[in-house]
Amino acid sequence: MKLNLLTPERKAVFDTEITSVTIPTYSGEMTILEGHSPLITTLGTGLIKYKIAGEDGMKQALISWGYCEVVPGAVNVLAEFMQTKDEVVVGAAEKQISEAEQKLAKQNLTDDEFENTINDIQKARVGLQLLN
Amino acid sequence: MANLKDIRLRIESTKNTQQITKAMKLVSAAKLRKAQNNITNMRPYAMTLKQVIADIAATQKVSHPLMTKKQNVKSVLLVVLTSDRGLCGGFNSNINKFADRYIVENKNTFEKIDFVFIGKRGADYFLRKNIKGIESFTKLEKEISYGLAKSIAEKLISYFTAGTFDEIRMVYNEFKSAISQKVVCETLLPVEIEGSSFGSGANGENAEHKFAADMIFDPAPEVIIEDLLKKNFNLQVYRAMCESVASEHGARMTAMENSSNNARDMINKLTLNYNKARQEKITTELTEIVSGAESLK
Repeated sequence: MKLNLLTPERKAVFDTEITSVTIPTYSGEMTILEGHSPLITTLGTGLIKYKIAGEDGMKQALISWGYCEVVPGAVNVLAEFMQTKDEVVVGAAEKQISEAEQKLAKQNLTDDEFENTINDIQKARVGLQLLN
Repeated sequence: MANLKDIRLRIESTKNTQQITKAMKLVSAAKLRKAQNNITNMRPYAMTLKQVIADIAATQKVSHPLMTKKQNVKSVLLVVLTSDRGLCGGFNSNINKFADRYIVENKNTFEKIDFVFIGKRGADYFLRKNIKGIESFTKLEKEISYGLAKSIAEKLISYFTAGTFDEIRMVYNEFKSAISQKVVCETLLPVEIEGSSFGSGANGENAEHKFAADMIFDPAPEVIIEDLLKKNFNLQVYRAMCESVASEHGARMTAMENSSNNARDMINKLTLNYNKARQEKITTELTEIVSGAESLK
């Protein structure tokens, strides 16, 4: 089973043979193993974990929003945002959380703004989680 | 003949200009490479996204307001994409000219043409003509990020869904190569979906992309397609911005190359003049000495 993990800004994982992948869908985590039936779903914010064939241990990254498509023999994950462990900066993430919380406190946000702000918080939290 | 000091000063200042233009050329070349990388990095994402939308639209027979063409288009929103900074040849003026002509040509066709400006140059140009866009995004960050493009795209899409405009078009410089850019005008909304690989028969490269008819959709196809269409639109805006940035640096590189060459020619010409003037001065002095010595005899 091949994994493609793409964002508009980069080609993170491309045509890599994996044995299992866990993706954060909009309604919760989902693990995909070989032979999964075809599926399309949208992504929430969370950690993607995948195991490269022939290697020990899971690889992890933070992804947020996008969609995932499972076709026979391949999993295509198209995320809007992605960060690996090395890219998470603790200070920046904490700042993001506090800024977003201030924004929420103002209470005059549109639906889209509200959603985006909540997502900012989630992104930062999952990013911090990635470090532990 | 101008005096020697003047010429020397002019040579000096031309040399300084040449140094600046040379440096700017190098900087643009580096930035161009980065911008080109951005375009290549985005391609796989764009391809997969387009494919899936086409496939879902074809197999699930879903339609969406973002995809349906209006019967008679009355109001058009023109998104004009320029750069924030100048010194890049015809890059911005080509765009502005195009937008200008667009108003003149279509004044009678549509009831309303409005503008959104991205980049300072376009906004300033039309402000001088007393045309104020409904919104302008200036002071763009140094690098175009997907997040920035997304926030602009979300605003644009809200104009469309609110029914304020029947069509959204974008004018920008398409990146052909480092030395050539082309002004293009694309319809961004409603989205045109090209044929899926189904029905048209699997053509070579798509043959391996097996889109099962019994695909599980979670959530429902209608929800997914809405999501994907929006993403696709964000991506279109991002792509246009990337192309525009790459074009800008390409154009600036060419412009700076030309001005470095001009400066070089100018320096050569001035040096020639300088030497001539110097020679003349020496000759005059010699003649004076000789004739002075002559008169003493």
